[in-house]
Amino acid sequence: KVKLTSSEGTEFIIDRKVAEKSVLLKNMLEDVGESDMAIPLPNVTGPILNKVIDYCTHHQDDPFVSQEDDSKKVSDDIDDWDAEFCKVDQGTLFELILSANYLDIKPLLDLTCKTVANMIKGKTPDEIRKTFNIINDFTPEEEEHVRKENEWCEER
Amino acid sequence: MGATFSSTKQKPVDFERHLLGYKTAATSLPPECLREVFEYLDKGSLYSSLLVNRSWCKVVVPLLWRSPFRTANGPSLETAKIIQTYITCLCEKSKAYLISNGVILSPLTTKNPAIFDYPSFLRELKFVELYNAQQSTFLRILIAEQLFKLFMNRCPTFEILSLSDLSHEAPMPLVPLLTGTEADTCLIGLKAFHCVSKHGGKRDIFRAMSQVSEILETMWVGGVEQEMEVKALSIFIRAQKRLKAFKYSWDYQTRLQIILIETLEALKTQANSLTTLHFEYCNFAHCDSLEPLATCVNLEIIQFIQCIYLAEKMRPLAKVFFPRLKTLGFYCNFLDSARYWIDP
Repeated sequence: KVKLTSSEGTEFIIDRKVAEKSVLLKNMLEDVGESDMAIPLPNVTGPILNKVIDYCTHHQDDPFVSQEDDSKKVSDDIDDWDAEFCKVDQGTLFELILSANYLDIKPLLDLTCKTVANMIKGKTPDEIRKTFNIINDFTPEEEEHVRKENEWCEER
Repeated sequence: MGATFSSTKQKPVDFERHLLGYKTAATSLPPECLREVFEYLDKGSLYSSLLVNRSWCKVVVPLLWRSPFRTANGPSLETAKIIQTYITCLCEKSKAYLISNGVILSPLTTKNPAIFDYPSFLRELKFVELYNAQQSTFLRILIAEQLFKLFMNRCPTFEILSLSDLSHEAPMPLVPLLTGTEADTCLIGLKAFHCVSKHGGKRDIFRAMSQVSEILETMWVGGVEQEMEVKALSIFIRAQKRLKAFKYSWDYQTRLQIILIETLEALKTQANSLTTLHFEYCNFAHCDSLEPLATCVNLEIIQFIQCIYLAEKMRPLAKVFFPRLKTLGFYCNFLDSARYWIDP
């Protein structure tokens, strides 16, 4: 068993196998060896850590895949459990990305990034800004300049 | 404007924010996470993301300009636009050189400097796409030369370089471009080199490449005909430190690639690292035996596609145990070569 503490100090006790889905924790556990000390995770809040643990528990028996091939990345291969897992508000989704990145859980990072990518696909710049509540900070000249220089990508 | 744009700093991710009750927003994703997201987007969605705001723009541009010619749909208006942007990035001296040689540059390419250093993001180049983007041979040589120099100058490192499909006549002096001091630094980390072509300068190309690139993982060559080319290829192979995949191929409509034992002997120097061997449209008539390949015990994939005069020359291989072998492929109409592997 492994003890983790979230940013607010909530303690989570999980199987070592589940914890090892995180490369960060796996390396820590290997360095420290057997220990009763809780591992503090000041960058992850309780509710998010809870979600992350859910994910790692469900996927604990998945084989570890080192993805190094140059094959085109696709985002339409999300299974039902994973799709359901990602039905959360945007804030949670982005926090999951940050946590997966910090804890180094590649499959979770891939899943959450695919979900965000699917939210972007097929939208105009304005629709994307509305979806994610982003402010356009280009000056009109700048925007025109960028548009012109990258015009070859424009789908017509 | 370029300077102001690039100096806009990405705000550091603030982990305290949600403790204070703020919601984590899309804008709080650091560039490395945004990049992960954008990797899943097609060209059209990338173009939309490019125009969302400055910080997204900065993450998207390197992705779009990694291998723009491959992303574009062949020589077309798109390719012309890519080249236009690259020309904007040329130094004044290069632009002046083109103009003095009668090339008409659009005012757009000379008026303002480019916002981004687009050539620095290039990682994969198929030279023929750059070359074919121009209509006339005259323009091809002038512009391809200047742009190639630009890439060599601006790219920190190339990953894939293809000199394939250049016609024999292509009067392109490639070698000086490959041997400059800039080429030294940007080709040093090259991972894949392709040169399946009738181009007459292959001997010099292989020689030049063996001086600069030593850590290739993939080498795909073909159309090697003259003795001097075979020799230069051997030198090129021997210069490698950890070649993983070697593909020898040619197009049967012209002729088959003749295999000489010299090349196989050279491959023997890569025995520890080689995992993939691929022979396509090859003629083994002048090669006595495949025996040198018996030392490549880490091979995972061996394929012979439409190869001739192979048969009994494979006997030395049939006796060898390749512990990692996953694929052994024979695709041929000519001879039942496979029989010699199974039943020596």
